[in-house]
Amino acid sequence: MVKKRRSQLISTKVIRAMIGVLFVLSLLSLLFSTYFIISAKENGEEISPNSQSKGVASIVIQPPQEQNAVSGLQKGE
Amino acid sequence: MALSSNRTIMGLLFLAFTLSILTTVVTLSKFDAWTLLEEKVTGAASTSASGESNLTIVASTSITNNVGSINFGTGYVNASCVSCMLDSNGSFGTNSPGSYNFSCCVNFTNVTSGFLLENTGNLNISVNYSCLGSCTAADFIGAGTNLFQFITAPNSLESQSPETGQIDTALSCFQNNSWNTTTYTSVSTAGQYLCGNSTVYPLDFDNTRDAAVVHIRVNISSSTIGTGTRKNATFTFGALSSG
Repeated sequence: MVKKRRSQLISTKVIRAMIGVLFVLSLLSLLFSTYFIISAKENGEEISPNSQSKGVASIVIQPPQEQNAVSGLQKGE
Repeated sequence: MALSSNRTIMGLLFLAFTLSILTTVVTLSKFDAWTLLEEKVTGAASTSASGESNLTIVASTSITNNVGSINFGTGYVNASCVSCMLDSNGSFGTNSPGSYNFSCCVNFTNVTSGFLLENTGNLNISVNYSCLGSCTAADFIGAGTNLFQFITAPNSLESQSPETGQIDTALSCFQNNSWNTTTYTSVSTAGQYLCGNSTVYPLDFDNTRDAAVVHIRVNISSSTIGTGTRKNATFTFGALSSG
């Protein structure tokens, strides 16, 4: 009878321990899910999708010697 | 004692069970399992022959620059002038502010189109720019009292083409021309927001008010000594949305 009672007590303790582990694991899982979602948002994966488009402005300013050459050519013409 | 112990066990079990369910729901909701059903499937129809069609409209953030190049060409300033001003809006040649003299800008190209930015996605966006290359007046033109500037204007005022769909008929950016640079502003490498900011997205995706023109203006003083080499400033226009 005492042996049976002791066995029941041990079994209850094991079940409690298992439930405790399950509880902690669930909590950790929830925390990690929340963490990954928040960090994904911060990295712009969800909040800030973006797009880009380019344009180029360009110019060539002639040095004085080339200006003279052009002027000379124009005069010659 | 045994009853109390059982209650504790049941309580813990219930908590663990609830947490597990909550975790599953949170995780699934963030990995498209629910969103496919709740948000993305926007149309569904079935026929009597048991056919089914699904339509998914995806949110898209997209900006397009319809005019990729502003090339002022090759030239120099007439020595008898104070300066030469070139603007992509077609203003060309000057001897003093407000006074245009075409002969002041020799050989340069008269550009008549600015960068035409258009919201080509289906979300409202904010617009920013940054610049790479010769992004200051000193780099782009040369030392001296030179200017390298830009200005932004809604395309409903500029009527520039080609726009996707149609040319705007209403003011863009908050639908009231709230562009941040409506006066000539010096180009910088870091750039700035042109419409809205990192949290406010006022450029509408509606085809009647989704575009703007960024005009580039350079003012070259006659004392500038040219180098004969091509100077490029590459503008990167960025769009941001709430997604």
